[in-house]
Amino acid sequence: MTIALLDNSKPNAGVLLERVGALLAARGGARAVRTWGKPGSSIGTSPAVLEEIAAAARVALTASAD
Amino acid sequence: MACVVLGTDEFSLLAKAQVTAKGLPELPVVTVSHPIGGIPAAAVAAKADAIVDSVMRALTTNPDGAAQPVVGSHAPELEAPGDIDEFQNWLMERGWGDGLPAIPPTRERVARMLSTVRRRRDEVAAILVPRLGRATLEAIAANAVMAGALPEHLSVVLAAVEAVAEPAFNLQAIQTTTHPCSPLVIVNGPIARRLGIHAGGNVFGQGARANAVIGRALRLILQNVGGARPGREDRATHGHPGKYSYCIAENEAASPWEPLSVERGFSAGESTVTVCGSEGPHNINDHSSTTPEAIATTVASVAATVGSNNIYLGGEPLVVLGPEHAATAASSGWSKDDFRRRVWEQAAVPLACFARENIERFATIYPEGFKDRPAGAVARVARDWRDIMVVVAGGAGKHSALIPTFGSTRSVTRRITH
Repeated sequence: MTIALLDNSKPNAGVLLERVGALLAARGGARAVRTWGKPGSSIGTSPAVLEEIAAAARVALTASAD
Repeated sequence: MACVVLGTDEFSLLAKAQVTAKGLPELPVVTVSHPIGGIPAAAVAAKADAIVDSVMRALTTNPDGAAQPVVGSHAPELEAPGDIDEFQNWLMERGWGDGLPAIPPTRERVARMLSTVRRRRDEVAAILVPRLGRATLEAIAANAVMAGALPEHLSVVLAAVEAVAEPAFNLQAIQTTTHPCSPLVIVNGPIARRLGIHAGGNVFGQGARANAVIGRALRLILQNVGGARPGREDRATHGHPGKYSYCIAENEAASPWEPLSVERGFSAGESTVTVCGSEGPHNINDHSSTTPEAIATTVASVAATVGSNNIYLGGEPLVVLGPEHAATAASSGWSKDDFRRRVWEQAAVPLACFARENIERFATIYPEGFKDRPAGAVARVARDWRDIMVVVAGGAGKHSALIPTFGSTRSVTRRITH
């Protein structure tokens, strides 16, 4: 199982997501944790990236806020 | 796929509104205490540790649901208090007011408002985010009535609504950002004079009915149809006074150059609105300059600041030249392009003036501007000189205004059909 992290590019969002992802992986036995990004926090994620995440992972964590 | 949205408690209402609008009201949102930005990584990690159980629980109990985007429903007809004072309380209690007294949108007033357009009242002019609200002609008219607009104002309001909904405007971000921005409506063409949309002295201030009610109507539509409620989905840290109403006409009669609409391919006889995701105006005082170069130097200096969204994210900073500055800027035969090119060249900040943390962050987001730049490199307030917007408005006096914009947005110009 792969865990996907979708970073909204706000400061420290990646830190929070990676930590939660790592803890979940340790508990749930995920094979991998992969991170995807956005071109900017105020720009929506492209459908292509969303499809890539859906194809690659069973679990996704994403971030909203500062 | 199981999915969890992580956010801070301050933003949980926005996150819930987003997932609901996307048709996934059950999608779990797990929050940490605000903020996660601007604090040490160790503190962020501690917040992560504290929520991991909640995330695990959400992932294992949330069924994989298929998205069913929920498009906001029609506004029903409601019984409201007939007493005008009670009506104000009724409106505010429902979160549909802006704090100022509003006109009750009775069936008769809405019908009168709609009498000026030849379109069906249930026609959807735009879908407005974040609520994915259906901006029907009827809903637009009802909010315009509440704002105090007259039937002849509706065509301008309608064009502005259609303009903000265009993808290039990035309404989702404009509606929900912490940044203080609001669509500034700039009207060009003969309709401005016909409706009395003010372009002269105190142009951003009080006193012109058409400006006040057109701008206010757009705001109420964005709030009530688009669902950007202050303190909830509208996450502005401060906002700005133009969020009540922000509408001007270009002072074409006092401009030495072609109007904004003509610059964008419309004819001088056509009326247009341009919407621009704008901060409030910041004054540019220059009582001394007598040459275009000198005016450009002053304008550029006001624009070039490390606290600007434009310097990080690009977009189109807006220069509103007072007529006297415009006359100076056009002297020696300078065109508008000559002027904006000069402003762009000078509106630059040495990277040495930026905080290290900001350079590190934007080295990822905008590497061409911030990553591995040579000593002495500068950041410019726009990505290209053509992105400096210039309009002429205001009255007598040696002042202009610099209006930074949200950055990740492009202004949109649309013809007003009337």
